[in-house]
Amino acid sequence: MSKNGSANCLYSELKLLKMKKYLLLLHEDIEKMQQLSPKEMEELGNSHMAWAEKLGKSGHLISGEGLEENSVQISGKDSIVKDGTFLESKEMIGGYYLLQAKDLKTVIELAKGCPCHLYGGTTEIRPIMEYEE
Amino acid sequence: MKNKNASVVESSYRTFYGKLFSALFSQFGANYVSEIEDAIQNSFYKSLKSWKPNKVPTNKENWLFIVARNDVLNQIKRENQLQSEIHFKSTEETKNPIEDLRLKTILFLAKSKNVSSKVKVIFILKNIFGLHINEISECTLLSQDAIYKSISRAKKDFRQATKDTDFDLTFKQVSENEIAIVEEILYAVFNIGFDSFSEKIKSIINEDLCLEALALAKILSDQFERTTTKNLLALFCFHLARIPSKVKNNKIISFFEQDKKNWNNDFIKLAFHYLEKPEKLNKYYVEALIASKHMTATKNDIEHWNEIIKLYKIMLSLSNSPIMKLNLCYCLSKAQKIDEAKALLETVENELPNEHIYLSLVKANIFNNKQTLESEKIIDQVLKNINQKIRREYILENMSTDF
Repeated sequence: MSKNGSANCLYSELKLLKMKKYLLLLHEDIEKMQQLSPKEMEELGNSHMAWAEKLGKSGHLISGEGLEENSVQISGKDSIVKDGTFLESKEMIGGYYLLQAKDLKTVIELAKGCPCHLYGGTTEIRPIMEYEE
Repeated sequence: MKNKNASVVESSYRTFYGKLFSALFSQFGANYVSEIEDAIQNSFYKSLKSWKPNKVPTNKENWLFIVARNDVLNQIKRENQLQSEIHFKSTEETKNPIEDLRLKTILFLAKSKNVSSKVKVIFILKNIFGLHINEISECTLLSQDAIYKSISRAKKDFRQATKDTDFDLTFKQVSENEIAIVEEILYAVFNIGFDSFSEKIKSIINEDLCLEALALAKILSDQFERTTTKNLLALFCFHLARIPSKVKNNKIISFFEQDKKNWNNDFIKLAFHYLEKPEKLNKYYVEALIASKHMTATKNDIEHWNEIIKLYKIMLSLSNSPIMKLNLCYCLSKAQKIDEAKALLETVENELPNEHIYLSLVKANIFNNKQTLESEKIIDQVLKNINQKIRREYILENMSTDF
Protein backbone atom coordinates (compact mmCIF):
# COMPACT_ATOMS: atom_id res chain seq x y z
CA MET A 1 0.00 0.00 0.00
CA SER A 2 2.66 2.44 1.06
CA LYS A 3 4.75 1.46 -1.93
CA ASN A 4 1.87 2.25 -4.23
CA GLY A 5 1.35 5.54 -2.46
CA SER A 6 4.89 6.74 -2.95
CA ALA A 7 4.80 5.57 -6.55
CA ASN A 8 1.75 7.71 -7.13
CA CYS A 9 3.44 10.66 -5.50
CA LEU A 10 6.50 10.23 -7.67
CA TYR A 11 4.31 9.95 -10.70
CA SER A 12 2.54 13.24 -9.99
CA GLU A 13 5.87 14.91 -9.34
CA LEU A 14 7.10 13.69 -12.68
CA LYS A 15 3.94 14.97 -14.26
CA LEU A 16 4.55 18.32 -12.64
CA LEU A 17 8.07 18.36 -13.99
CA LYS A 18 6.70 17.92 -17.42
CA MET A 19 4.64 21.06 -17.04
CA LYS A 20 5.73 23.78 -19.40
CA LYS A 21 6.12 27.39 -18.40
CA TYR A 22 4.36 30.29 -20.04
CA LEU A 23 4.69 34.01 -19.61
CA LEU A 24 1.39 35.83 -19.75
CA LEU A 25 1.89 39.49 -20.60
CA LEU A 26 -0.91 41.92 -19.82
CA HIS A 27 -1.21 44.74 -22.33
CA GLU A 28 -3.43 47.36 -20.84
CA ASP A 29 -5.39 50.04 -22.61
CA ILE A 30 -3.99 53.03 -20.73
CA GLU A 31 -6.76 55.38 -21.71
CA LYS A 32 -9.47 53.02 -20.53
CA MET A 33 -7.67 52.31 -17.28
CA GLN A 34 -7.51 56.02 -16.50
CA GLN A 35 -11.24 56.34 -17.07
CA LEU A 36 -12.30 53.62 -14.66
CA SER A 37 -14.59 54.62 -11.82
CA PRO A 38 -13.53 53.81 -8.26
CA LYS A 39 -16.13 51.07 -8.25
CA GLU A 40 -14.84 49.50 -11.46
CA MET A 41 -11.28 49.77 -10.17
CA GLU A 42 -12.29 47.90 -7.04
CA GLU A 43 -14.10 45.22 -9.02
CA LEU A 44 -11.11 44.78 -11.32
CA GLY A 45 -8.76 44.45 -8.35
CA ASN A 46 -11.01 41.84 -6.77
CA SER A 47 -11.28 39.93 -10.04
CA HIS A 48 -7.49 39.81 -10.41
CA MET A 49 -7.12 38.55 -6.87
CA ALA A 50 -9.79 35.91 -7.31
CA TRP A 51 -8.26 34.81 -10.59
CA ALA A 52 -4.74 34.59 -9.15
CA GLU A 53 -6.05 32.70 -6.14
CA LYS A 54 -7.81 30.20 -8.38
CA LEU A 55 -4.68 29.65 -10.46
CA GLY A 56 -2.63 29.31 -7.30
CA LYS A 57 -4.91 26.63 -5.97
CA SER A 58 -4.92 24.67 -9.22
CA GLY A 59 -1.11 24.80 -9.27
CA HIS A 60 -0.87 26.83 -12.47
CA LEU A 61 0.48 30.03 -10.98
CA ILE A 62 4.22 30.38 -10.40
CA SER A 63 4.34 34.14 -9.90
CA GLY A 64 2.91 37.41 -11.10
CA GLU A 65 3.65 41.09 -10.62
CA GLY A 66 2.33 44.45 -11.65
CA LEU A 67 4.76 46.79 -13.38
CA GLU A 68 5.39 50.48 -12.75
CA GLU A 69 4.67 52.82 -15.62
CA ASN A 70 8.13 54.33 -15.85
CA SER A 71 10.61 52.57 -18.04
CA VAL A 72 14.18 52.87 -19.19
CA GLN A 73 15.35 51.68 -22.57
CA ILE A 74 18.97 50.95 -23.36
CA SER A 75 19.97 50.39 -26.93
CA GLY A 76 22.86 50.05 -29.32
CA LYS A 77 26.44 49.04 -28.72
CA ASP A 78 27.00 52.38 -27.08
CA SER A 79 24.28 51.50 -24.60
CA ILE A 80 22.30 54.66 -25.04
CA VAL A 81 19.97 55.08 -22.14
CA LYS A 82 16.55 56.55 -22.85
CA ASP A 83 14.58 57.46 -19.80
CA GLY A 84 10.91 58.04 -19.26
CA THR A 85 7.43 56.76 -19.47
CA PHE A 86 6.30 55.96 -22.94
CA LEU A 87 2.81 57.23 -22.61
CA GLU A 88 2.42 58.11 -26.26
CA SER A 89 1.56 54.51 -26.96
CA LYS A 90 -2.02 53.49 -26.36
CA GLU A 91 -1.08 50.20 -24.81
CA MET A 92 1.38 49.34 -22.10
CA ILE A 93 2.51 46.14 -20.44
CA GLY A 94 0.97 46.60 -17.03
CA GLY A 95 1.99 43.30 -15.51
CA TYR A 96 2.72 39.65 -16.05
CA TYR A 97 1.87 36.24 -14.75
CA LEU A 98 4.26 33.30 -14.96
CA LEU A 99 2.14 30.19 -15.40
CA GLN A 100 2.72 26.50 -15.80
CA ALA A 101 0.54 24.04 -17.65
CA LYS A 102 0.81 20.83 -19.58
CA ASP A 103 0.25 22.51 -22.93
CA LEU A 104 -0.52 25.76 -24.72
CA LYS A 105 -4.15 24.83 -25.11
CA THR A 106 -4.63 24.75 -21.35
CA VAL A 107 -2.93 28.11 -20.92
CA ILE A 108 -5.13 29.67 -23.58
CA GLU A 109 -8.19 28.47 -21.71
CA LEU A 110 -6.79 29.84 -18.45
CA ALA A 111 -5.81 33.16 -20.00
CA LYS A 112 -9.29 33.68 -21.41
CA GLY A 113 -10.45 34.23 -17.85
CA CYS A 114 -7.84 36.89 -17.12
CA PRO A 115 -9.58 40.04 -15.82
CA CYS A 116 -7.22 42.11 -17.98
CA HIS A 117 -9.71 41.64 -20.82
CA LEU A 118 -12.55 43.32 -18.94
CA TYR A 119 -11.50 46.86 -19.83
CA GLY A 120 -9.94 46.76 -23.27
CA GLY A 121 -6.76 44.91 -22.34
CA THR A 122 -5.06 42.19 -24.36
CA THR A 123 -3.12 39.24 -23.05
CA GLU A 124 -0.20 37.67 -24.82
CA ILE A 125 1.12 34.19 -24.11
CA ARG A 126 4.81 33.53 -24.62
CA PRO A 127 5.94 29.95 -24.02
CA ILE A 128 9.22 29.88 -22.13
CA MET A 129 11.90 28.19 -24.18
CA GLU A 130 12.99 24.96 -22.57
CA TYR A 131 15.12 22.24 -24.13
CA GLU A 132 16.21 19.09 -22.44
CA GLU A 133 19.92 18.53 -22.40
CA MET B 1 -27.41 43.22 8.92
CA LYS B 2 -25.61 46.23 10.33
CA ASN B 3 -22.30 44.42 10.70
CA LYS B 4 -22.43 43.14 7.18
CA ASN B 5 -23.14 46.62 5.89
CA ALA B 6 -20.38 48.15 7.94
CA SER B 7 -17.82 45.90 6.32
CA VAL B 8 -19.15 46.76 2.87
CA VAL B 9 -18.76 50.45 3.59
CA GLU B 10 -15.30 49.91 5.05
CA SER B 11 -13.86 48.26 2.01
CA SER B 12 -15.50 50.27 -0.74
CA TYR B 13 -13.19 52.18 -3.08
CA ARG B 14 -15.91 54.70 -3.53
CA THR B 15 -15.76 55.54 0.17
CA PHE B 16 -11.97 55.57 0.06
CA TYR B 17 -12.14 58.05 -2.79
CA GLY B 18 -14.08 60.59 -0.74
CA LYS B 19 -11.96 60.09 2.34
CA LEU B 20 -8.69 60.38 0.42
CA PHE B 21 -9.94 63.40 -1.47
CA SER B 22 -10.94 65.20 1.73
CA ALA B 23 -7.68 64.36 3.49
CA LEU B 24 -5.55 65.50 0.53
CA PHE B 25 -7.76 68.54 -0.06
CA SER B 26 -7.27 69.63 3.54
CA GLN B 27 -3.54 69.33 3.04
CA PHE B 28 -2.98 70.76 -0.42
CA GLY B 29 -5.97 73.05 -0.88
CA ALA B 30 -8.12 74.01 -3.83
CA ASN B 31 -5.15 74.81 -6.07
CA TYR B 32 -4.34 71.18 -6.64
CA VAL B 33 -7.69 69.50 -7.18
CA SER B 34 -6.70 68.03 -10.55
CA GLU B 35 -3.46 66.69 -9.11
CA ILE B 36 -5.36 65.16 -6.20
CA GLU B 37 -7.87 63.49 -8.54
CA ASP B 38 -5.07 62.00 -10.65
CA ALA B 39 -3.17 60.89 -7.58
CA ILE B 40 -6.14 59.02 -6.12
CA GLN B 41 -6.79 57.34 -9.46
CA ASN B 42 -3.11 56.35 -9.60
CA SER B 43 -3.12 55.00 -6.07
CA PHE B 44 -6.10 52.78 -6.94
CA TYR B 45 -4.31 51.63 -10.07
CA LYS B 46 -1.18 50.83 -8.06
CA SER B 47 -3.18 48.88 -5.50
CA LEU B 48 -4.66 46.90 -8.34
CA LYS B 49 -1.22 45.86 -9.44
CA SER B 50 0.57 45.31 -6.20
CA TRP B 51 -2.02 43.81 -3.86
CA LYS B 52 -2.14 40.05 -3.99
CA PRO B 53 -4.33 37.47 -2.32
CA ASN B 54 -1.88 37.00 0.56
CA LYS B 55 -0.38 40.48 0.39
CA VAL B 56 -3.10 43.04 1.08
CA PRO B 57 -2.19 45.84 3.50
CA THR B 58 -4.01 45.69 6.82
CA ASN B 59 -4.87 49.35 6.59
CA LYS B 60 -5.85 49.84 2.97
CA GLU B 61 -6.92 53.44 3.42
CA ASN B 62 -3.60 54.42 4.92
CA TRP B 63 -1.69 52.64 2.15
CA LEU B 64 -3.71 54.44 -0.50
CA PHE B 65 -3.34 57.76 1.33
CA ILE B 66 0.45 57.55 1.48
CA VAL B 67 0.75 56.50 -2.16
CA ALA B 68 -1.64 59.26 -3.29
CA ARG B 69 0.02 61.94 -1.16
CA ASN B 70 3.46 61.11 -2.57
CA ASP B 71 1.94 61.19 -6.01
CA VAL B 72 0.56 64.70 -5.48
CA LEU B 73 3.94 65.87 -4.18
CA ASN B 74 5.70 64.34 -7.17
CA GLN B 75 3.32 66.00 -9.58
CA ILE B 76 3.87 69.36 -7.96
CA LYS B 77 7.63 68.85 -8.00
CA ARG B 78 7.43 68.00 -11.66
CA GLU B 79 5.53 71.19 -12.30
CA ASN B 80 8.38 72.97 -10.52
CA GLN B 81 6.05 74.72 -8.23
CA LEU B 82 7.78 73.75 -5.05
CA GLN B 83 10.46 76.35 -5.64
CA SER B 84 8.05 79.20 -5.20
CA GLU B 85 7.89 78.60 -1.45
CA ILE B 86 4.47 77.09 -1.26
CA HIS B 87 3.79 75.90 2.22
CA PHE B 88 1.89 72.71 2.75
CA LYS B 89 0.70 71.49 6.04
CA SER B 90 2.86 68.56 6.95
CA THR B 91 1.17 65.29 7.72
CA GLU B 92 1.85 65.87 11.41
CA GLU B 93 0.09 69.21 11.25
CA THR B 94 -2.95 67.88 9.49
CA LYS B 95 -5.20 65.70 11.48
CA ASN B 96 -4.96 61.99 11.38
CA PRO B 97 -5.62 61.03 7.75
CA ILE B 98 -7.95 58.36 9.00
CA GLU B 99 -10.26 60.96 10.53
CA ASP B 100 -13.31 61.37 8.37
CA LEU B 101 -13.08 64.82 6.88
CA ARG B 102 -15.76 64.30 4.27
CA LEU B 103 -18.55 66.27 5.90
CA LYS B 104 -16.17 69.12 6.74
CA THR B 105 -15.03 69.22 3.14
CA ILE B 106 -18.62 69.24 1.90
CA LEU B 107 -19.41 72.12 4.23
CA PHE B 108 -16.31 74.00 3.16
CA LEU B 109 -17.30 73.63 -0.49
CA ALA B 110 -20.92 74.53 0.27
CA LYS B 111 -19.67 77.75 1.89
CA SER B 112 -17.73 78.94 -1.14
CA LYS B 113 -19.44 81.91 -2.69
CA ASN B 114 -19.75 82.53 -6.43
CA VAL B 115 -20.07 78.82 -7.14
CA SER B 116 -23.52 77.67 -8.23
CA SER B 117 -25.30 74.98 -6.21
CA LYS B 118 -25.54 72.72 -9.22
CA VAL B 119 -21.80 72.88 -9.79
CA LYS B 120 -21.19 72.21 -6.10
CA VAL B 121 -23.41 69.15 -6.09
CA ILE B 122 -21.73 67.66 -9.15
CA PHE B 123 -18.27 68.30 -7.79
CA ILE B 124 -19.14 66.69 -4.47
CA LEU B 125 -20.80 63.68 -6.06
CA LYS B 126 -17.63 63.04 -7.96
CA ASN B 127 -14.97 63.78 -5.39
CA ILE B 128 -16.55 63.06 -2.03
CA PHE B 129 -18.77 60.17 -3.01
CA GLY B 130 -16.46 58.79 -5.67
CA LEU B 131 -19.10 58.64 -8.40
CA HIS B 132 -17.98 58.36 -11.97
CA ILE B 133 -19.05 60.87 -14.61
CA ASN B 134 -21.42 58.40 -16.24
CA GLU B 135 -22.97 57.48 -12.90
CA ILE B 136 -23.59 61.18 -12.22
CA SER B 137 -25.02 61.53 -15.69
CA GLU B 138 -27.51 58.72 -15.10
CA CYS B 139 -28.84 60.20 -11.92
CA THR B 140 -28.88 63.88 -12.77
CA LEU B 141 -30.15 63.56 -16.35
CA LEU B 142 -27.29 65.83 -17.40
CA SER B 143 -25.11 64.91 -20.35
CA GLN B 144 -21.58 63.66 -19.65
CA ASP B 145 -20.20 66.65 -21.52
CA ALA B 146 -22.10 69.06 -19.32
CA ILE B 147 -20.77 67.27 -16.25
CA TYR B 148 -17.15 67.42 -17.43
CA LYS B 149 -17.64 71.13 -18.00
CA SER B 150 -19.16 71.62 -14.57
CA ILE B 151 -16.30 69.80 -12.89
CA SER B 152 -13.61 71.87 -14.54
CA ARG B 153 -15.67 74.96 -13.87
CA ALA B 154 -15.91 73.95 -10.22
CA LYS B 155 -12.14 73.53 -9.96
CA LYS B 156 -11.58 77.01 -11.30
CA ASP B 157 -14.27 78.55 -9.13
CA PHE B 158 -13.09 76.88 -5.94
CA ARG B 159 -9.54 77.97 -6.64
CA GLN B 160 -10.77 81.54 -7.01
CA ALA B 161 -13.10 81.38 -4.05
CA THR B 162 -10.45 80.07 -1.70
CA LYS B 163 -7.69 82.38 -2.87
CA ASP B 164 -7.94 84.89 -0.07
CA THR B 165 -9.51 82.82 2.65
CA ASP B 166 -7.62 81.08 5.35
CA PHE B 167 -7.91 77.48 4.37
CA ASP B 168 -9.21 75.31 7.13
CA LEU B 169 -11.83 72.60 7.26
CA THR B 170 -14.06 73.29 10.21
CA PHE B 171 -17.58 73.12 11.57
CA LYS B 172 -17.42 76.75 12.70
CA GLN B 173 -19.33 79.69 11.21
CA VAL B 174 -21.76 77.73 9.14
CA SER B 175 -24.98 79.37 7.94
CA GLU B 176 -28.44 77.81 7.66
CA ASN B 177 -28.25 78.09 3.93
CA GLU B 178 -25.00 76.17 3.77
CA ILE B 179 -26.45 73.37 5.86
CA ALA B 180 -29.44 73.31 3.52
CA ILE B 181 -27.08 72.81 0.58
CA VAL B 182 -25.39 69.93 2.39
CA GLU B 183 -28.79 68.35 3.09
CA GLU B 184 -29.71 68.69 -0.54
CA ILE B 185 -26.48 66.97 -1.54
CA LEU B 186 -26.98 64.08 0.87
CA TYR B 187 -30.57 63.72 -0.35
CA ALA B 188 -29.35 63.53 -3.96
CA VAL B 189 -26.70 60.96 -3.10
CA PHE B 190 -29.18 58.81 -1.21
CA ASN B 191 -31.63 58.81 -4.10
CA ILE B 192 -28.89 57.82 -6.50
CA GLY B 193 -27.94 54.92 -4.26
CA PHE B 194 -31.52 53.84 -3.83
CA ASP B 195 -32.05 53.51 -7.55
CA SER B 196 -28.70 52.35 -8.78
CA PHE B 197 -28.55 49.50 -11.18
CA SER B 198 -25.71 47.06 -11.65
CA GLU B 199 -26.05 44.36 -14.28
CA LYS B 200 -22.99 42.56 -12.95
CA ILE B 201 -24.08 42.02 -9.39
CA LYS B 202 -27.79 41.88 -10.26
CA SER B 203 -28.58 44.67 -7.90
CA ILE B 204 -30.79 47.69 -8.18
CA ILE B 205 -29.70 49.37 -4.99
CA ASN B 206 -26.32 50.67 -4.05
CA GLU B 207 -26.68 50.11 -0.35
CA ASP B 208 -23.27 51.44 0.64
CA LEU B 209 -23.99 54.78 -1.02
CA CYS B 210 -27.30 55.03 0.87
CA LEU B 211 -25.61 54.16 4.12
CA GLU B 212 -22.85 56.71 3.55
CA ALA B 213 -25.43 59.41 2.98
CA LEU B 214 -27.17 58.28 6.17
CA ALA B 215 -23.92 58.30 8.16
CA LEU B 216 -22.98 61.79 7.01
CA ALA B 217 -26.52 63.08 7.64
CA LYS B 218 -26.26 61.71 11.17
CA ILE B 219 -23.00 63.60 11.78
CA LEU B 220 -24.63 66.74 10.34
CA SER B 221 -27.62 66.29 12.61
CA ASP B 222 -25.49 65.74 15.72
CA GLN B 223 -23.40 68.77 14.88
CA PHE B 224 -26.09 71.34 14.11
CA GLU B 225 -29.30 69.83 15.53
CA ARG B 226 -31.61 71.07 12.80
CA THR B 227 -35.09 69.61 12.45
CA THR B 228 -34.75 69.48 8.66
CA THR B 229 -31.74 67.19 9.01
CA LYS B 230 -33.73 64.96 11.35
CA ASN B 231 -36.55 64.85 8.82
CA LEU B 232 -34.05 63.89 6.17
CA LEU B 233 -32.81 61.09 8.42
CA ALA B 234 -36.41 59.94 8.88
CA LEU B 235 -36.87 59.77 5.14
CA PHE B 236 -33.64 57.80 4.69
CA CYS B 237 -34.65 55.32 7.37
CA PHE B 238 -38.13 54.67 5.91
CA HIS B 239 -36.50 53.87 2.57
CA LEU B 240 -33.68 51.80 4.04
CA ALA B 241 -36.22 49.73 5.96
CA ARG B 242 -37.65 48.43 2.69
CA ILE B 243 -34.38 47.38 1.07
CA PRO B 244 -34.59 43.75 2.25
CA SER B 245 -37.81 43.26 0.30
CA LYS B 246 -37.14 45.43 -2.74
CA VAL B 247 -35.58 42.61 -4.74
CA LYS B 248 -36.47 38.93 -4.70
CA ASN B 249 -34.97 36.24 -6.94
CA ASN B 250 -33.34 38.94 -9.06
CA LYS B 251 -36.65 40.65 -9.61
CA ILE B 252 -37.77 44.07 -8.50
CA ILE B 253 -40.76 43.87 -6.21
CA SER B 254 -43.13 46.80 -6.46
CA PHE B 255 -43.90 48.63 -3.25
CA PHE B 256 -47.40 47.20 -2.97
CA GLU B 257 -46.27 43.62 -3.53
CA GLN B 258 -43.49 43.68 -0.97
CA ASP B 259 -43.54 41.33 1.97
CA LYS B 260 -43.89 43.74 4.88
CA LYS B 261 -42.58 41.11 7.25
CA ASN B 262 -39.15 41.57 5.68
CA TRP B 263 -39.02 45.28 6.32
CA ASN B 264 -36.41 46.22 8.84
CA ASN B 265 -38.24 47.26 12.00
CA ASP B 266 -35.22 48.93 13.55
CA PHE B 267 -35.05 51.35 10.66
CA ILE B 268 -38.81 51.99 10.84
CA LYS B 269 -38.56 52.76 14.57
CA LEU B 270 -35.61 55.03 13.92
CA ALA B 271 -37.54 56.75 11.13
CA PHE B 272 -40.47 57.58 13.43
CA HIS B 273 -37.98 58.78 16.03
CA TYR B 274 -36.61 61.32 13.55
CA LEU B 275 -40.00 62.29 12.09
CA GLU B 276 -40.27 65.39 14.21
CA LYS B 277 -42.77 68.01 13.11
CA PRO B 278 -40.82 71.08 12.02
CA GLU B 279 -41.89 74.66 12.77
CA LYS B 280 -41.79 75.43 9.07
CA LEU B 281 -42.71 72.67 6.63
CA ASN B 282 -39.86 71.26 4.58
CA LYS B 283 -39.84 68.80 1.72
CA TYR B 284 -37.98 66.07 3.60
CA TYR B 285 -40.65 66.06 6.29
CA VAL B 286 -43.49 65.84 3.77
CA GLU B 287 -41.75 63.13 1.77
CA ALA B 288 -41.03 61.15 4.92
CA LEU B 289 -44.66 61.58 5.91
CA ILE B 290 -45.77 60.20 2.54
CA ALA B 291 -43.46 57.22 2.95
CA SER B 292 -44.80 56.60 6.45
CA LYS B 293 -48.42 56.77 5.24
CA HIS B 294 -47.70 54.28 2.49
CA MET B 295 -45.89 51.97 4.82
CA THR B 296 -48.50 51.99 7.53
CA ALA B 297 -51.64 52.00 5.35
CA THR B 298 -53.84 48.98 5.85
CA LYS B 299 -55.68 49.38 2.57
CA ASN B 300 -55.06 51.20 -0.65
CA ASP B 301 -58.53 52.59 -1.32
CA ILE B 302 -59.45 55.93 -2.83
CA GLU B 303 -59.51 57.52 0.60
CA HIS B 304 -55.86 56.53 1.11
CA TRP B 305 -54.87 57.92 -2.27
CA ASN B 306 -56.70 61.17 -1.61
CA GLU B 307 -54.74 61.62 1.57
CA ILE B 308 -51.48 61.01 -0.30
CA ILE B 309 -52.59 63.44 -3.01
CA LYS B 310 -53.05 66.13 -0.36
CA LEU B 311 -49.49 65.58 0.84
CA TYR B 312 -48.07 65.66 -2.68
CA LYS B 313 -49.84 68.95 -3.30
CA ILE B 314 -48.18 70.38 -0.19
CA MET B 315 -44.94 68.90 -1.46
CA LEU B 316 -45.25 70.72 -4.75
CA SER B 317 -45.60 74.01 -2.92
CA LEU B 318 -42.15 73.29 -1.44
CA SER B 319 -40.39 71.64 -4.34
CA ASN B 320 -40.59 72.01 -8.06
CA SER B 321 -39.35 68.55 -8.90
CA PRO B 322 -40.89 67.00 -12.04
CA ILE B 323 -40.50 63.58 -10.41
CA MET B 324 -42.75 64.69 -7.54
CA LYS B 325 -45.27 65.86 -10.13
CA LEU B 326 -45.14 62.44 -11.75
CA ASN B 327 -45.73 60.83 -8.39
CA LEU B 328 -48.77 63.04 -7.98
CA CYS B 329 -49.96 62.10 -11.50
CA TYR B 330 -49.78 58.46 -10.52
CA CYS B 331 -51.69 59.04 -7.28
CA LEU B 332 -54.35 61.04 -9.11
CA SER B 333 -54.87 58.19 -11.53
CA LYS B 334 -55.19 55.76 -8.61
CA ALA B 335 -57.85 58.03 -7.13
CA GLN B 336 -59.70 57.92 -10.47
CA LYS B 337 -58.97 61.59 -11.17
CA ILE B 338 -57.80 60.80 -14.68
CA ASP B 339 -58.42 64.19 -16.26
CA GLU B 340 -56.53 66.01 -13.56
CA ALA B 341 -53.69 63.51 -13.92
CA LYS B 342 -53.50 64.04 -17.67
CA ALA B 343 -53.48 67.82 -17.33
CA LEU B 344 -50.59 67.68 -14.89
CA LEU B 345 -48.79 65.15 -17.03
CA GLU B 346 -48.82 67.58 -19.93
CA THR B 347 -46.93 70.16 -17.90
CA VAL B 348 -44.37 67.61 -16.76
CA GLU B 349 -43.70 66.43 -20.30
CA ASN B 350 -41.99 69.71 -21.10
CA GLU B 351 -39.75 69.47 -18.08
CA LEU B 352 -38.24 66.05 -18.72
CA PRO B 353 -36.22 64.69 -21.60
CA ASN B 354 -38.04 62.87 -24.35
CA GLU B 355 -38.73 59.23 -23.60
CA HIS B 356 -37.92 59.61 -19.93
CA ILE B 357 -38.67 56.14 -18.60
CA TYR B 358 -40.55 57.01 -15.45
CA LEU B 359 -42.59 59.62 -17.31
CA SER B 360 -43.53 57.08 -19.96
CA LEU B 361 -44.54 54.53 -17.37
CA VAL B 362 -46.80 56.91 -15.51
CA LYS B 363 -48.28 58.00 -18.81
CA ALA B 364 -48.91 54.43 -19.87
CA ASN B 365 -50.51 53.72 -16.54
CA ILE B 366 -52.86 56.65 -16.82
CA PHE B 367 -53.88 55.76 -20.35
CA ASN B 368 -54.18 52.15 -19.36
CA ASN B 369 -57.46 52.93 -17.68
CA LYS B 370 -59.17 53.89 -20.91
CA GLN B 371 -57.06 53.72 -24.00
CA THR B 372 -55.27 50.41 -23.94
CA LEU B 373 -53.81 50.79 -27.41
CA GLU B 374 -52.18 54.09 -26.59
CA SER B 375 -50.81 52.58 -23.44
CA GLU B 376 -49.33 49.58 -25.21
CA LYS B 377 -47.60 51.82 -27.72
CA ILE B 378 -45.88 53.75 -24.97
CA ILE B 379 -44.80 50.59 -23.18
CA ASP B 380 -43.32 49.17 -26.39
CA GLN B 381 -41.29 52.34 -26.76
CA VAL B 382 -40.08 52.14 -23.15
CA LEU B 383 -39.03 48.53 -23.52
CA LYS B 384 -37.05 49.38 -26.61
CA ASN B 385 -35.10 52.00 -24.69
CA ILE B 386 -34.46 50.04 -21.56
CA ASN B 387 -31.27 48.03 -21.58
CA GLN B 388 -31.54 46.63 -18.12
CA LYS B 389 -32.88 43.12 -18.03
CA ILE B 390 -34.18 43.25 -14.48
CA ARG B 391 -36.18 46.42 -15.16
CA ARG B 392 -37.54 45.10 -18.43
CA GLU B 393 -38.82 41.99 -16.73
CA TYR B 394 -40.37 44.11 -14.03
CA ILE B 395 -42.25 46.26 -16.49
CA LEU B 396 -43.42 43.31 -18.56
CA GLU B 397 -44.79 41.59 -15.51
CA ASN B 398 -46.38 44.59 -13.92
CA MET B 399 -47.73 46.72 -16.70
CA SER B 400 -50.57 44.40 -17.57
CA THR B 401 -52.08 45.09 -14.16
CA ASP B 402 -50.31 47.79 -12.27
CA PHE B 403 -46.82 48.92 -11.41
